Amino acid sequence: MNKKGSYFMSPFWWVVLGLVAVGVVIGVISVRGQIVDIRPAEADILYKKIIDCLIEYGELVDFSSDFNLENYCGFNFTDNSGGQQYYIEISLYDSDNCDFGKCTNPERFYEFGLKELKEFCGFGGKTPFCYGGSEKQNGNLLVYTIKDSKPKFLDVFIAIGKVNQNVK
Amino acid sequence: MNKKGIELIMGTIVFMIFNLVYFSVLFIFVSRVGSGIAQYEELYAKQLALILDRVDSNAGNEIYFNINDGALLSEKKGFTPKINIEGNNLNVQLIQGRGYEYSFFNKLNIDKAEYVVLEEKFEKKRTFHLIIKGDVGIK
Repeated sequence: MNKKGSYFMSPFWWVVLGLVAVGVVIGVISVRGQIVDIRPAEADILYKKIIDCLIEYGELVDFSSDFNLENYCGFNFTDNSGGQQYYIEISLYDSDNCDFGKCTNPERFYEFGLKELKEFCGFGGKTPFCYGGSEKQNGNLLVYTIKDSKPKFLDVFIAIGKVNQNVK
Repeated sequence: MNKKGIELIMGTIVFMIFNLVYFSVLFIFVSRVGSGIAQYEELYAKQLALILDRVDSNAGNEIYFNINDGALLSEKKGFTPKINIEGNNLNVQLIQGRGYEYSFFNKLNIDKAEYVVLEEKFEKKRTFHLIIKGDVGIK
């Protein structure tokens, strides 16, 4: 084969084509393979729904004894994944027990769901999305006041799993 | 034509055939993945889940959810979009396969969920039509 023919069929040319193919595949997958993480929006909706549900006509419902969040507020946290994908904590603090947004010793406390989700908050990567809580970054501590008495702080913490569906 | 000339032409033809095959494979890959039909399934399922989370479960609702772009791709593949809601899981399917499933947390009484094409004057609107019955018995 002459010089021109051997140039066309040279390994150099196939290496170039290979690199182009790898570049195209990586480019397409990185653009089209993005997963939309909707857990922040989901947590925001859930947070507001819980607050709306817990405060009826300005009065806080008693969520400490025999309270069933799913039945009372009209939620259903069961899905086809098999495991629990939510963890919710509701705490009511006396203002004396709060300092610079950090509260301790809740007067009333309620929890629902898989507590392990909370332990993996803030680890980065494929971890649950966490929202609310008195020690959180996005502070949503709600002031609840009853006439002629000290203000109380209502705190709702939410952790949502659904990691495989929302994190690449 | 001498021997060298024939070799040159043959080399060029083989080169062109290899390149044609190479670029065809690349084109098929990009058009398949790039059509984004799987991404539309995911997007619609998640958007609908958020809408269903947001609605008031005590009030009746009727939702027409626009899926025009995704449905057009389905039509090109000869498939009719499907939506299936079982319990708190919704599944959106725009192409043959398992579709995309996502769950919502709101307890709802969903009476109907189906693919509907609305015929308007100059265009068709491809939608998922959902009817939600009010009053699921919460406070």
